[in-house]
Amino acid sequence: MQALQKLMTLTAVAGLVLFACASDTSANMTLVQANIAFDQSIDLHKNSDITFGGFQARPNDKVSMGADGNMKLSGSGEILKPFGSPSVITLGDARNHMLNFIPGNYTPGSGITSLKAHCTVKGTNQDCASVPLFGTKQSTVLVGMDMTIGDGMLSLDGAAAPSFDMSVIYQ
Amino acid sequence: MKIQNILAGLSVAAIALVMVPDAWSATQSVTANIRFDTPLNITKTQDIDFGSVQASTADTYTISPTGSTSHSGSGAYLFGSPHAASITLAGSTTNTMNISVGSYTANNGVTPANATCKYGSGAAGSCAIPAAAAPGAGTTLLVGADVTADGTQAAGTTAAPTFTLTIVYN
Repeated sequence: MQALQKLMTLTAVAGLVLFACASDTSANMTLVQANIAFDQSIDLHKNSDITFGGFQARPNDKVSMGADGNMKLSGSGEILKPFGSPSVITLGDARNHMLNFIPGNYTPGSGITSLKAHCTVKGTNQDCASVPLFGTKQSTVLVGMDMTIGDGMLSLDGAAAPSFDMSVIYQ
Repeated sequence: MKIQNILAGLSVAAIALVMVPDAWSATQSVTANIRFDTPLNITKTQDIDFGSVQASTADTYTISPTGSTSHSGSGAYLFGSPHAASITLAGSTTNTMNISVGSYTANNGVTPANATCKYGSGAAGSCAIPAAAAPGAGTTLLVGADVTADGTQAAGTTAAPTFTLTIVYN
């Protein structure tokens, strides 16, 4: 009887030990952290659109206006007024952030067959459409563009102006 | 005759008494069953990261276990590379597991909720998985969640709300 009791007691103890061991290794917990940072959104305000100077274009001429307003014409046409007005966009406080300027959504029209925008942040000489720039407290973005004249006559009145979007995003 | 009968009776009683210890003892075989398996091992590869979102704006941001993001209010994702949490489970090749989630803890006005999980090749869904397949040498658990910002977060600040995943062998 004593031997049987002893055996049962040992078995029970062994069972408890095994149960305790199993509890240690069969369950596990992990803390998941959801990191989130807060910053201010980019504030853009367009002060003006692009206005080209005067020119007399021929089919397939390429007319360019830099972000400084200077115009060039490649082709058989003629520039009548060599200075235009770039688009001026004010950029809000983007300090401590790299910014990418991405022109897109080109919409030809009014006899213009192709567009390509280029831009400069005032105070820098870099083409911001091709190189990321470091944001400052306040920036002024000047936007010029190249365009190619189509084969047909330019529509002078009542036609939709060609357009594009200039997106500024945090890198 | 009576004395003989009495003596005979006493003899029987004595014999019976001698046999009693044999009748009172018994042997019971006890089997100590034991099963061997691999301990459950959890390795967190990365936490959730929502990247940078718009400051001072109340909104609820969601990231799925596969990393797609959305939000329901007037805030916005600004920059960064949002990603879900990734956890590697390893252990038994036969034992299923119970996965559960809880202990959501807010931080800096940002409250987590509704954790979602994608275990192995399964579909994304609730993190309450009562019989997840045995992890074997290693199975990935991807974890997404909602976090609700109350709009008091200034630009340049961060928050790190947390919740707990518990995984138990069935």
